[in-house]
Amino acid sequence: MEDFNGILLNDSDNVVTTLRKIYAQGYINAAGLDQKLFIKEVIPGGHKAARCFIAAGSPVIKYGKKIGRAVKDIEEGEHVHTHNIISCRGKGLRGDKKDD
Amino acid sequence: MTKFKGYARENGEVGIRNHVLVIPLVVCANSVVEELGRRFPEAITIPHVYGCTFDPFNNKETTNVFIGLGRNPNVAAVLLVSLGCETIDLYEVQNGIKESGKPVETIVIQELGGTSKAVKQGVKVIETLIERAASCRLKEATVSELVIGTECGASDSYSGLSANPVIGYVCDKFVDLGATVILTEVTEFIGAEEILAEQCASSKTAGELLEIVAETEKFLAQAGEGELLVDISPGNLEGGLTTIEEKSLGCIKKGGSHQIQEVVKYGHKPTAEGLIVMDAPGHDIESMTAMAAGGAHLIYFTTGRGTPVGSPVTPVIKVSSNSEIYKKMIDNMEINCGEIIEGKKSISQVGEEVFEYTLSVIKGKKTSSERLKCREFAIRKKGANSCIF
Repeated sequence: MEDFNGILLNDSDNVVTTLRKIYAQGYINAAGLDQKLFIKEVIPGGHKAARCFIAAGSPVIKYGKKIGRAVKDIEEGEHVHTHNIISCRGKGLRGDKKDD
Repeated sequence: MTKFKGYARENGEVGIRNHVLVIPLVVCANSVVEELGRRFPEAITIPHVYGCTFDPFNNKETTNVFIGLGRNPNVAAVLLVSLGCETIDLYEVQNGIKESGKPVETIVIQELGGTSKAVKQGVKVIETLIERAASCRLKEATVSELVIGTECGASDSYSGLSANPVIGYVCDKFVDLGATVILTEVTEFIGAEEILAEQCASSKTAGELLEIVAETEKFLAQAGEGELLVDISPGNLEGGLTTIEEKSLGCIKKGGSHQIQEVVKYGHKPTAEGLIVMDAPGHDIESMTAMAAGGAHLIYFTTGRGTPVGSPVTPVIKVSSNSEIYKKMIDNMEINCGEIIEGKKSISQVGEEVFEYTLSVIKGKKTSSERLKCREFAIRKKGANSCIF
């Protein structure tokens, strides 16, 4: 079996989830990715990296479904988490965000 | 293979455990119940903080939970310990449990005259109940008679990749064999409710499901006005989950792929077979309590960050999403799904292992939560102040 250190859950996803910690200047290798994804900064295991550029305001897609929207431009390979995406449900319905 | 010898209850149901359960009707009866628990370590005692409220909704819900728990098929006999002046009606609870045919005794602290007299009488009653329980006969049963709960707690991002799909696989197997499976934690439907609605067997059920999700989301949106708070826990965030939508899409996998037959209220017994949804919040203990009150024989509990919790009358099978937590908290774990993350095993492989392990629990093997006496008990508080996750 090929050594995958990440997983792409659905072809329409714009994020990849890591299966272990990815070190800075490393690569994510996941089934379904055309090529390995270059990672500049550390990404912890179980966290997400952008599969491609995600413009601020765009939906973030995982499992083929919207899981939130970007609040900043996100570069390909960048860590995707609370610092750059926000929920669109629950408290996310209120639409407000404190600046980090 | 899927047959077992279970405890034959008076109403035709079968239990996989044979507990004597001692319920304080109100928080004020706790100390008496705790002393009885020290004298009878194998009896199940559930001290709590409820039982006296002028909120009719909470009163009714507490009453229903006590009745449901007493009626759980894993319970052989019940002792209710009342203070004497609480708003919960002792005889309503007693009659509700008695309808199932099992022995239900009561003691009232104020009538007996305080702690030592109540404990003395409680000891006599519990001794009789233990004898009654021991005389319970066994009968041959099949897994189709079981109600199986599902729970995820202290989730991480791996929960949705390994442990929850494994439990979904197992639940599909059990539903194929005629069992009933409960999917709950409605907080963790938010963002994934369209998938669940499509999975419903009827548009009526789909409508009910969407309604309970909308109601839960309304409470979440109102809570903590003025501050940005996420709807998932610090542990979830550390574990890689960023939003409730992302968490939910992983959580719903634990129910499997069968059609959802009905939506039942908090703590209510399912009337349909197969996969059903129960309206309970994401709070681990509040939802497990609801499933136990609804008659769950056992509960699968997937976890990524690890938790020791159990449930008073229902064996809890802990399923770790990753190997690190499985090894670190080995005391509290049953199954490791970490090898799926590591690419060493498939979901179906681990699913088969879980299925076999479950049969041994059904046949009497104790889980860690049982051995360690983890018997957490909590009833939801409905409304904007509810502890939702």
